[in-house]
Amino acid sequence: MLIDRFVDGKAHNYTRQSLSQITKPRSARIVSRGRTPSPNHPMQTYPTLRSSLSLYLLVLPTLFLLAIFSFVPVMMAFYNSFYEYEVGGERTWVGFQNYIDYLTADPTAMVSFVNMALLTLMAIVIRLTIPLVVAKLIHTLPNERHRYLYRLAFLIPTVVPVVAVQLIWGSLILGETGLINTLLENLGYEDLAHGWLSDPNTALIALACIGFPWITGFEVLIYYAGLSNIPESVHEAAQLDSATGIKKFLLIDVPLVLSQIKLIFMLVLINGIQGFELIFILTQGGPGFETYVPGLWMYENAFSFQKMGYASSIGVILFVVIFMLTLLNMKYFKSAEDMQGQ
Amino acid sequence: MPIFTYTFRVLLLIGAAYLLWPPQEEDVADNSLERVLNRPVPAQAKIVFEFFPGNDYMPGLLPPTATEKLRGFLDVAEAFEARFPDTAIRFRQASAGREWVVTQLAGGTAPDILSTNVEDVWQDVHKGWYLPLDEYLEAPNSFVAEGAPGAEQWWDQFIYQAISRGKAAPDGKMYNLTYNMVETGILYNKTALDLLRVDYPETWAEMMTMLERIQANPFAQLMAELNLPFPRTPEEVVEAAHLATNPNIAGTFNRQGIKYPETVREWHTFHTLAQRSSVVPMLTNAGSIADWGTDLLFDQLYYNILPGIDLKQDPKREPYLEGYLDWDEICFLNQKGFFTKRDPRYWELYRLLKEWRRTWNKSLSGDARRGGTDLYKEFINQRGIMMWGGSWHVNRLINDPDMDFDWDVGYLPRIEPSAEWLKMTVQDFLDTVLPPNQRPDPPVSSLDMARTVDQYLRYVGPLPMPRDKSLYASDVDMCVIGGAAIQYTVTNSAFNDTGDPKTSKKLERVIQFLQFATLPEYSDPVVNENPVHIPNIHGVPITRVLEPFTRILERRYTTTKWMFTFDNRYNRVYERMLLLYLEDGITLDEFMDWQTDNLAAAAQTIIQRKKLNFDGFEKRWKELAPLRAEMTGIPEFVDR
Repeated sequence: MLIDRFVDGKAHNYTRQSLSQITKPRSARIVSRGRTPSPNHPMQTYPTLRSSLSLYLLVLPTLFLLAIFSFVPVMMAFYNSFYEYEVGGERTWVGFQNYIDYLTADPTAMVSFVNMALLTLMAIVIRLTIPLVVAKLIHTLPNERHRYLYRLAFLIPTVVPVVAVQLIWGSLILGETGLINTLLENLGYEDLAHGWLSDPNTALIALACIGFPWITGFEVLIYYAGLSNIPESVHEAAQLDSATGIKKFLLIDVPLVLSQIKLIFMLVLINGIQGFELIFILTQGGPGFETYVPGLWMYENAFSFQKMGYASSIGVILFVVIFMLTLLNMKYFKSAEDMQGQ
Repeated sequence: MPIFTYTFRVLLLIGAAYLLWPPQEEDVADNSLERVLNRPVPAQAKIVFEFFPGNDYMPGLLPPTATEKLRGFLDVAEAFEARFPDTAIRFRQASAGREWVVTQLAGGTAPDILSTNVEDVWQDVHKGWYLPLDEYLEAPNSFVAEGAPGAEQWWDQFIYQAISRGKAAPDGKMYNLTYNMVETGILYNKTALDLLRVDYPETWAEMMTMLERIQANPFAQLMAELNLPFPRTPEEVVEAAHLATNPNIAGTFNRQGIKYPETVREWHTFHTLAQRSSVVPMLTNAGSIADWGTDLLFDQLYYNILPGIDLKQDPKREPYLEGYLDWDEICFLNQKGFFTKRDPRYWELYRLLKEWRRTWNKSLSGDARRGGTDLYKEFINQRGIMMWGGSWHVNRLINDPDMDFDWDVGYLPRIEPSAEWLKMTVQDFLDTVLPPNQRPDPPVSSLDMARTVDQYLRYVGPLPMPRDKSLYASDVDMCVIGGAAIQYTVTNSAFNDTGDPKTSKKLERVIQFLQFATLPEYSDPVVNENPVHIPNIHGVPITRVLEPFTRILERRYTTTKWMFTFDNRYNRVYERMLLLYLEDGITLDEFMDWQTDNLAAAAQTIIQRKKLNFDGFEKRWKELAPLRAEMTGIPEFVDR
């Protein structure tokens, strides 16, 4: 199969094999130098630093701003994590004490990490499955116009601000006089009606249920794009091997959209570990610490209690967790393209 | 054809743009927010300072409790500028978040006069961000005529001295000028209470009985037995009056203890409540309970032992506060076992709260957006009969078109003591005092049955107690728990012209402006323009509807303020764990573990931050030992 790609500003037609060759690491590519150019292995040209200096200069301001607003704060967080430090106050070197305190003496650490793990796990399961099924169903529709309308239908709700959606869930649906409680009362089950987000027994699960039926346009589109990239010939070959329906979906479609699954997995994982917006808006981690997550404790320590050093140490711990999980994901979670590249 | 398509699309775009930017009438009033915030600085103005008066008094804003856009402080600023032509005042808005205040102060760019509460100020006083106002408050207000309050000391202009002086920071200095007061109260549905034939309760036991009766909703029970009409006009009420003579109907009303409705409002309330499957006796939220509830019950339980534990008599504030436990004392007492699991009174506080909690709304989350209860809406809709609110609710209630019942303002009643129980044996206590459905779990051993209740509580553990009385109650009326509403601080920006408060001309003018603004003639239009707070300045008339709150403000000041006196981390953890306990997420025992650790950590922070030395307290502690020996409910060094 031929694929159009732009390399060095020129359009080329490559086969999938040649594409994987280009995307190989530089060390691997050097080996192929000196070969006779062939249609499958076009000659690579490498611009010198001098000839591309203007390009580097053009990138420099962006890089500078990126450094100021992204890299420096991250480095400062590492630095501050070794100090007891308040905004406007004195700075005292405490070494690893902030880390030790958080991991061994902070009563919120264990409960918030467990909550974070449960919420992230549930988000991963939901967002890796339901939107994929929906994308597949849309992709299976025979009429392109209908496919378009369905894609549009699932995409339109994304224009509603996430915060607004969350507040609607918090007040109109899960609220004390919200939809669920009113329904229960009218059905005669008033004893079951209660504050879903304020009851310690239901708060975490109520949070996890927000967004039901969890079909977000963004993920549906990503999966749909992945499914559209699967060549028709693969489906035809699968059909010849009598793979149809769910079997075809699980054995053909899912492996071929693994790169999309990997992307969504990473996004959900990172958001699950460091994100706390939903919790901040709806429960503030309560009742008690029943829905608390480390990100929120980091935020509160930094901006409510002004314990900047302590908050930085929590941030660094979260960074390390995300980094480790990313490494594990890159090492063990191989998409089709990764496997082709090996 | 494409021309039609494109024309249609262009028209569609124009239409959309029109909807997005509809023509608006320019607000030409001089108190429009835009004009207020962009007031020109006259050329002759050599001193310019910034002022954030708080959102309740910000000219140009229209708070829900006001009927017109505010302008009070704009007039004050103009009058001041007319008097001091070399000065210009710029109004600034501020974000509600603490992050904003902290970053502005750290950067030295905060408004020179800032409306901010003590809980934010106290956290940061050691950083030099705020200016102590003591020397100015102890000097005369230069604008006050001779003989008038304030002519000798600016302090004298303020009505509520105890609360105003109680806002001194942990370092003993006063950073907040209490411009006016806010007070909490129990707003109650008087029509419903009249129908129930009950007066506003005078004791805790009466209140608990009343709340339980409301919770049982006798109106619904009555309607289940009778099919009554719903008179909606005075004529229909007259027609329905003859039914009251029907022996069957009169008997049923008497049996339920309900008065036969006699007015349209009473019929409306009667039918509204009768339709409810459940009625909430008391509307409140976790924030109110953690703050006001804790302080009030703490005062009820500790007031009578203050002579034995109040170790420091602040010469400046003591005459006004009449006994107050400040940070240092709390930290010391905590080391002596007070406010820990070893303290029986501390257990009692949270037991009483839990007993009371059974009559509150289901969700205690205060924010309706977070699935919590909208207390005001529930009160207006008569889903709840009593609401723990405050002076800020009154104007809204008066102007609410949905208000369809009579209401009034009360206060929490005192808790009656039952100290005689302490001398009883546990056996007698269980047999004669405790209801049969309340038994200790695990059961009391036969050996412990012979102990007195006091001994058992000191050395063994807690016992179940009747819900409406307390062993340790001080038998005094509930104290004041509201306090300063709008508080003004002078920030480090106010002397940035010279960097030295002693030489700063700008600071001199800033202080003058505050003194000017506290003159009755200038305070009146500001405070009464948006009647949510109670004037704190002599000579400023009070809006009539707020008068019930002034009677509450005349009460004795609280024994201590728990919330917002320690560090923010303590507050946050306390509020969270209290909510969890009240929502049955953890037991009292587990809550006490959390709270003991939380308070110990906060006390340690304060001891380190202030480098406290307790030698003086230790000496006084020993001197007061004979007094404490006579007292009950003093912590023993036994791990409970």
